[in-house]
Parts: sequence; structure tokens; C-alpha cells
Amino acid sequence: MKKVVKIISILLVLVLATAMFAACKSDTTKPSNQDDSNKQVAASPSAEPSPTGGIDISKKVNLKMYLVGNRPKELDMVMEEVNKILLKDLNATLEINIISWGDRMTKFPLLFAGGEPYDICFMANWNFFGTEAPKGAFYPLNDLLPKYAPITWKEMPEVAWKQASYNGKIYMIPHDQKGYATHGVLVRGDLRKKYNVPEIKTIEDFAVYLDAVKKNEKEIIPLNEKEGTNTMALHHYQQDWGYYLTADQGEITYDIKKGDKAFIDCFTPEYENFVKMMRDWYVKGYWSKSVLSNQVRARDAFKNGTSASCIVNLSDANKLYVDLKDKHPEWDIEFYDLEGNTAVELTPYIANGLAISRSCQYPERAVMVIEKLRTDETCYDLTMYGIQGKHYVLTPERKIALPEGVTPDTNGYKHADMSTYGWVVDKFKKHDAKSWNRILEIEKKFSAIAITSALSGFAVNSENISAELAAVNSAVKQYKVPLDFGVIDPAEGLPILREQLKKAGIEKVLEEINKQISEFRARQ
Amino acid sequence: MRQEKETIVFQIIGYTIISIISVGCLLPFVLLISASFTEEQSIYRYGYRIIPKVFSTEAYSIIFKAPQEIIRAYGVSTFITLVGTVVGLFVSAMTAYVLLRKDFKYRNNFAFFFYFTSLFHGGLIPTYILIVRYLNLKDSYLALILPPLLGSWNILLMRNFMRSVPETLAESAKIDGANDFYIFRKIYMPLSIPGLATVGLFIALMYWNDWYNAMLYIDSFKKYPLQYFLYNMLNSIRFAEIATSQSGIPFPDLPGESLKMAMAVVATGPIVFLYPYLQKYFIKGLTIGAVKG
Amino acid sequence: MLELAKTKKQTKLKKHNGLLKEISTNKILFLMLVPAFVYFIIFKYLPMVGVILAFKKYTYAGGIFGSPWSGFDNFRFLFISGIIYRITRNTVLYNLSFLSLGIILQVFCAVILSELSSKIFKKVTQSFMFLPYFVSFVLLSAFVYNVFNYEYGTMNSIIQSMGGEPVDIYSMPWVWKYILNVFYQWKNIGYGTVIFLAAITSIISEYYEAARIDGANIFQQIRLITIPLIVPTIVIVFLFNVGKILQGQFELFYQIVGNNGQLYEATDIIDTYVFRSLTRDFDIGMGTAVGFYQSLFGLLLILTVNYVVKKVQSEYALF
Repeated sequence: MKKVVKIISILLVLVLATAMFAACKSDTTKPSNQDDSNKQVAASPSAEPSPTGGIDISKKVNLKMYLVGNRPKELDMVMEEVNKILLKDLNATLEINIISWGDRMTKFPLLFAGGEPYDICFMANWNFFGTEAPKGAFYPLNDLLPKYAPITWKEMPEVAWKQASYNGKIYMIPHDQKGYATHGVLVRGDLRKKYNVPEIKTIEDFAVYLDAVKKNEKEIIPLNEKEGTNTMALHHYQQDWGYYLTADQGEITYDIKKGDKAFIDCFTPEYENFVKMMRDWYVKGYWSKSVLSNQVRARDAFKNGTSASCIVNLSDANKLYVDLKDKHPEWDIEFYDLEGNTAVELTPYIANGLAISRSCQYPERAVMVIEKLRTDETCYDLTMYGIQGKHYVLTPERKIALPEGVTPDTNGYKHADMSTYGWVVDKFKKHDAKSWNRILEIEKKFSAIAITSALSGFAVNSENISAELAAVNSAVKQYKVPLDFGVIDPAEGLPILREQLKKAGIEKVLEEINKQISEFRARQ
Repeated sequence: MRQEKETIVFQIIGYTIISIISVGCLLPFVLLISASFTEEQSIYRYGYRIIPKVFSTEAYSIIFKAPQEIIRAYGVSTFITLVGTVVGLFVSAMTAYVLLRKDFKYRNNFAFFFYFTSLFHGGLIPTYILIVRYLNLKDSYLALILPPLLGSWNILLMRNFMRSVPETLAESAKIDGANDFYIFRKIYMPLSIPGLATVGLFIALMYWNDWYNAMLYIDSFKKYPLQYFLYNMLNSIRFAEIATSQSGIPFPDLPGESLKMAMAVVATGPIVFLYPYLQKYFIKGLTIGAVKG
Repeated sequence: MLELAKTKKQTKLKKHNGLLKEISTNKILFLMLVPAFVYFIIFKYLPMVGVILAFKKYTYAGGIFGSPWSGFDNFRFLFISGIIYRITRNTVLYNLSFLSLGIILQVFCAVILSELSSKIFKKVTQSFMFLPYFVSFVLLSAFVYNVFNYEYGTMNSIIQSMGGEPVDIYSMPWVWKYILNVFYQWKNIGYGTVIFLAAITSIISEYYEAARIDGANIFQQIRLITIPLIVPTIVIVFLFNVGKILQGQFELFYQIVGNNGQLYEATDIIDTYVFRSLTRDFDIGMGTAVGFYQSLFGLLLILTVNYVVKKVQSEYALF
């Protein structure tokens, strides 16, 4: 035993010693401003008047950019073309690395914490912006934008810059797309019409459809869900409540019209009614009794014909339609939003964007390159859609279609395979020729009732409540999800849920969030 | 005659039980193969079956449409497995030998030194920083070979197997003037074949199945090992949900069930035959000649 | 006083002399140890420094060493709601049952396999037994759901065809400890059996010959020779895993059970709990804190058990 203690103490000394040693060597990420030698080399006398208007670009720079998604097969081919332009105009090249969806949660934190050099990365309010910006992961852009990205700076709505800031510093360049935070239901028109179910305007109408399917179709599950976020979404959007404030299950939410404070969904009477309804649906068998262990999402089941409906957002609906139109035209797919005519919240501009690393050596060049991608239509089209003629063709209506002989499977550069939506620019955006008119029509309807809630862009800083949040997260998954899917009888389950949430500290979380909200609103 | 009867009883029980267990082990693998040869739609409609309801080689044709990627990944995996196994096995065995020597006063201290590392870990971030920043191994094959190379389990297990070599052999060799390294190489290693085969097998399997190091450290897809391809395909769904549910972007396409299964079969590949090949070393009586001689 | 100091100094010198002397007498042995030693220092002990993050609030500006200390803050989330008792209990019980049943089953198979005569049978069945190792739990989960789901699952189809009522197994927590054990054993049986088989084949065959001459039948041979001689192997398998009693098995639980809140009471282990809590807001400090808890618990346990084993039979101990 003594020997062991001795060994442990020797080890501890060793470990501490190496720690000391490493500390001396350790590069806590230095702000790149320190490296002055590379900047502002005097322009050589023989320089032609540069398109950059006097900004020095004499040093060739290679920028590393990290995006999420799947690597397009012909990415190299496309980037070669892009870099030709970038090299000529900005003396810079862009190198894209892809982090796949499955690796996102591991690799992005590593990217920020591991101190590995990179320049630009895809950023979003759902992709670490809220948690990493306060930690100082990104380069502040306030001074760089007006000078190096003047057009973007001018054309981006003021509220977008506000959303992209933390403590007055801008840390991200958002896209300028108007998106609608809503989910609707996608149903089989053939089945609906077969069983004389009227068009769907509310959740209750949807239940009628589900019932018809359950009673008459033995092989198809009406709404073959798995545990996830979607049924809850319906509940929130119908109430005009914001969906995503903390954790996945929307248990802390806010009224999008008022946008004044947050409250706990689970303690409201609306939630009580909702779970009673869900219990009813479960008992009636609208989804599998084994729903909590199901691994296949409803939208995939829908595609495969094992679900009669699914709950999706607008772009998902569009995508499913495009995929299924040719495979199963007989299904007569229909989409219904359940928003009514009250209000729809615009998704924040920072739902997609780009951020620059705090240790980027050439932040000015990085900003210039981003500006180029966003303002030069050739660059934009290349990175968004690929090489014209090879990966896409433009129809006379300026819509995107596939060239002769190319199918979605063989296309070497599928649009949105990787997260190029980080720099979508409305005026350059081209719709897919096969886009579903139904969606476009709904979007038009929404644009009339869309609002930017006062809390748009607000992200919770979890520093002071991280322990409680973790406990709440866990309690929600254990006690709320079964209620949301009606697996537990709400008469028993709801009181338990409420008690467990209290035990986990949800009231402290709410207090802290509301405190941050009032600070956020004061800053507006 | 009595002896014979017991042996027969034993054999009957033995064959039966082992058969049942091995069929149970085989079953999911059969389902896997069968699903890889089944038409996508019929999996959704009829579930997984032992014999495909609707036969189709579609999944494989998709995979082998661009065979260069798969072949290259095979090459990467094979290279890493070979190098890692040979080096890892040798060093592990060598270390194990030192630890079993009763005349080595500090053997237990060092054993603890090694074992301690299987209890405490610094976590992903410090390891990542070490490999990427200080050792500069990002995107290199060494990042795939080095991190898993040695482990206390393999060392201690090897030590255990090597202990069955009689000490008298080492003693007599020492008297003859042999040094420790010689004793290790010429006496202990040849007599520890089952142990070497076992630990070698484990190391090889670990390298072949490893996708985690590739995910962390490899950027260029030319260096992707086989399992990483597979992992990518299977895991895309897990985390994209939270992200896309409220950002309005379309959900990425997922590979079908049949394709996933086919990928798994392809990724498992030849390693399945490694064990049957090594099986010949697991025969009793290998050490018979040693003591007599 | 002086005497005491002098003897202390002498003992210290002796100890140092002991190490130096040891190095010079066993030069080659030390040299043989160097590669592994250096490797472990670099790849295992250096990163271990990160353990201190369990007690710090990590910031990028600070890095590992500059970030401020935060005491036991990072451990709080384990103690809110009293979760820690449940997940520790589950983890320990599951790992113990996995380990013990595993050893029994694998030794059993190894012993049988070593005595069967047909080479082909042995080769084939052993290869089969290794196959589960290649079917990842991710894939397996698809099969499992196919079997267990209420509406269309194979299990319920069979039950119904025999006239019974379908079973909603996903809402029966008590059954899962058996199910999970079956899957664990299924996955590891090939691997574990090989270890014991290798140990058995290392037994000198003269022992068996002598026993046969003395008239021992096969059961007696197994009882008196085989088992006793593989006890060291059994012990190190057991000991090694005791230290890891709070770790591991995430994939098994996460994939087979899924995110099924109804079953958490019976199937939640530390790794799944932590995964659930930290997925959205990944916190380095809290993640490291849990790891520290798991490691410390295991360390204390193994020090105790190893000490006991050492007293009984010193060469069986791990260290």
C-alpha cells in the first residue's frame, strides 16, 4: 500500500511538472493583431489600381473554411473555378473542409477549443453561436465590416447585425434570408380524399385524418413518429409561442407577439390540454406504442410509405415533395400549415451565417472573401449551385434545373449538400424549378403576417445555470417526452413532471433567462 | 469404459451448447447480409428477414459505383492495421516480459503506472490539443497509428499469458550467458504463441474497427479508413435534428437501410477471416516440446 | 533527534541507491521498458493534465491553465435531483453482472471448446462467435426495434400467432436488465472466450497426461487442472474491469434502449445520463467532472480489491 501511495505521489509530481512545462509552451490563443509583420506591407510602386480600392493585398493568403454537411463529389472542381476569381481579385484562395452532420457536436467544439488554426467557419444560432461567442471564440467584426465588406454592411438589415452581436461586438455575418419558424403537416392526399377527410386547418382536423387512416389502413401507421421535436412544435406554433429558447423540448418558451418574458410551458393549462390530446392519440394508436424507442423519423417513414403523414418545416416539405413527386405521383402529397392567420415568427437572420476565428491571421482578407461570395454573382452561383452547364442550368425564368442526363444522385455538386446557406443572399437566390407552388403560396401568406419578435436573436448564456440546465435537460427527456407522446397518462405523469422539473431547478433557470431577456431588451 | 462414457456425455453437451450459442451469434450477421441484398422498399414493408423477400444488389452497385474510394479506404485500413499490430504487439510483449520478471524489483510499480492510465483520462480536448498542436499530427497516418498503439490491457494480458512459460528455462538460459532481450525473443516469444495470437488479434481488430481517430484527426478524404466511411453514413442523422428543426433549412438526405447494411458488410470485409486463420494457434499442446528439450 | 534524522537520511539514500542499483543490474530490462514508458508519458500522462478542467471554468482565453478555478461547481448537476445515486447504482450493477456472467459464460465455452474433437466444428463455431463483434450496436438497434416494436415486431407476431396478447416491452423496465445482459454477452462472447482459450492452450499437456494415467475422467481433469490453471487469467480479467466499473457500455444502452424515458429508472447509466444532459450545451468542465468521478471511484475500488487479492496470492494481483 505504501508503495502505491509513493507511486501515486511520484506520478502527481510528474503530471504537475509536465503541466508546468507545458504551460510555458502553451499557446493560449493570441489575438492575431500581435502579428504586425504581415500586415500592411507597403504597396509596391508597380501595383495596378486594384479592384480593392487601395487595400493592400500583396500577400497571397490561403483561407481555411469549415462547413457542415456532406462533401460534394466535385467540390475540388468547383473550388478551382472559385479560386481563380478569388486569386485574381483578392490574391487569396479558399480551402473548404467539411464536418459531417454526425461529427458536428464533437468536431466544432474541438475546433474552437483545440486551438487549431482555421479562418472561417459556418455559424448559426443553433450551431454554437450562443455558447461560443461569449467565450471569445470569434473575431470581432465591427471595424472590419464597413471597410472590407461595405455592400454587405449596408444591405444587411440592422436587426440582423444586432442578432449577430454579443456585448456590442459583432461576431458573425448572417445570411439575409427570411425564414419562417413554423412546422406544418404533410399528408397523403390520396388517402385523405379516399376517406372524405376535409382539408386540414387545425390540429383537430389533423386528428380526423389520422383517425381515418388508423381505421382503414392496416399497413400504414398514421403518424409514425419517433421521439424528437415535432409534435410539440405543432402545439407551440398554434399558440403563437416561440419554439426554441432552451433545450430541445421547448419547455421554456415565450409569446412571439409580446416577446416580453419567458415562461414554462409545462405549467400552463394549454400544455395540460395538449398532453391530454396526445394521450388520446396514443391510445387510439396514431403512432406506435413503441414510439419512444423508434429510431426512424416520420418524414423518412413517410417517404417509404410506412407513415401516412409527417410534421415538417417548409423547406423540408418542399424537399420531400420534390423527391416524391416523380416516385409516387399517385400519393398526391399535400401540405397544411396550422398557423391560422395570427402570427408567424421570422427565423432569426443568424439561423445561418459565417464567423471568423479569433485567431485568424488575416481577418481583413477573410471578410473580403466573404464579401466577394456575397456580392459577386459569379462566385455566388459557383459556390451555391456549381458549374453552370455541368451541375445546373438556368431556366428562362431564372430557376435552377438539372442539366440533360444528370439526376440528383449523379449530380457532383448538389446545392445545399454542404452548408453554403451560410451566405445566402436574397437578391441572388434562385429557386429550384421544381419548387412546390404550395410552399411558395404559403410563404406568401406568411410574409403578410410575419413578425420579428422582440426576442429574435436572443440566445441564452448558460454560464450561471449550466448545472441546472443539464438536470432540466435530463428531467425533460425522462418525464416530459413520454407525456408528449401520450405514453404516460397525464393524470399521473404531469404532476410528476412538474415536480421533477422543480427539483431540477427549472425555476432558477427561468429566473436567469428572464434576467438575461430584460438585459437583452434594454440593449435594443 | 467409464472414462469413455463421461467423455461422450461431455461431448454431447458441449456440441449442443456451442451450436446453440454460435447460431445465436450468427443470426444478426445473417440478417445484416440478407438486408444488404434486399430491395429497399421491402425492408420497410416486411422488415428484416433471414432470406431477402425481394432480392436486389442495388446497394452494392451504389457503393461500388465509385470503387476507387472504397479500395483506397481498404488500403488505408490495411496499412494501418498491419503496421500498428506488428509494432504494438512487439512492444506490448516486450513490456509484458519485463513486468513478469520476479527479479525486477519495480515490476508492480510499473504495472500500476500502466494500469492507472486505464482509469484516468484527461479527456478529449487535452488529447486533441496534444496531437494536433504539439505533435503536429493532424491529417497524418501517425495520428491513426499512434494513439491506440499501446494499452495497459494488452500489456497486462500479455504478461498473464507469458507467465505460463516455466521460469526454469529463463534461468538456465541466464546461466548460459544470455541477456534479457535474447531470452525474451528466443524463448518467451516462441513459447507464448497463443498469447501473441490473442493479443495480436485484439490489436488488429481494434485498428480495423477504429473510426474515432479518423473522425478527429483526418481531413483529407484520401486518408479515410474504411470504418470512417461507414460511420459517417450511419451517424449523420443523430444530430442534425436539433439543428434543422427550427432553422428552416432542408434536412439532409439519409442513406437507405439496405445501403447501410451493405456498407457494414463491405467495411467488415476480410477481417472476419483473420480469426479463423489464427485459430490454428489455439491448439493445446503447443508448449509440449519446450520443457522436455 | 539527530539519530532519527540520520537514519531517515540513510533510508532515503538506500532507496535511491536501490533504484540506481536496480537500473544497473537490470540494465537491459529497463531499456526494454523505455519505449512503452515514453509512449505512456506522452500519450497518456500528458493529456491527463486535462483532468484539472473538472475543477475549472473553461474559457478560450485561459486555455487549460489560465482558466479560473471553480471548485466543485462542475459536479453540481450530478447531485441535483439526486440522480447520482440512481445512475451509479445502475452502472455498478450492470457492469458487475456483465463481468461476472461474462466470465462464467466465456470460461464455460472455452473449456468446452478446448476439449471438443472436431477441428472443423471448432473453427466454424468460433468464427461465428466472433461475428457479433463486427455488428455495431448502431446497426443492431435497427434489428432490435424490428423485433420488439409493438405493432409489427417479430416477437409480438409470434406471440399473437400462438394466441397470446402482444407485449409492450418498451414499457416494462424490469425486463431490460435481462435483455441488456443478453446483448452484452452476445457481443463479447467471442472476444472473451478467446482469452480463456488461449490461457487453456498454454497449459502444459503433460499435466493432462499424468491425470489420465491416474484415471481421472474428463470432468475431473477440467475441475482439477484446467480451471485452477486459468484462475490467474480469470483474476486479471476481473480485476482489470473492476477499476472501470463506472465506465463504458454507452453504445449498448443508447442504441438498444434509445431515448426512452420510461425505461430510464432501470436502464440509465452514467454515460447515457451525461450524454443526455450535455448534448446541447456541451460543457467541457462538466464532462470532465463526470469522468473524474468515474475514474476516482474506480481507482478506490481497484486499490482495495487489488490489495485483498495481493494478500491472498500475491502474483495474481494486478500490481
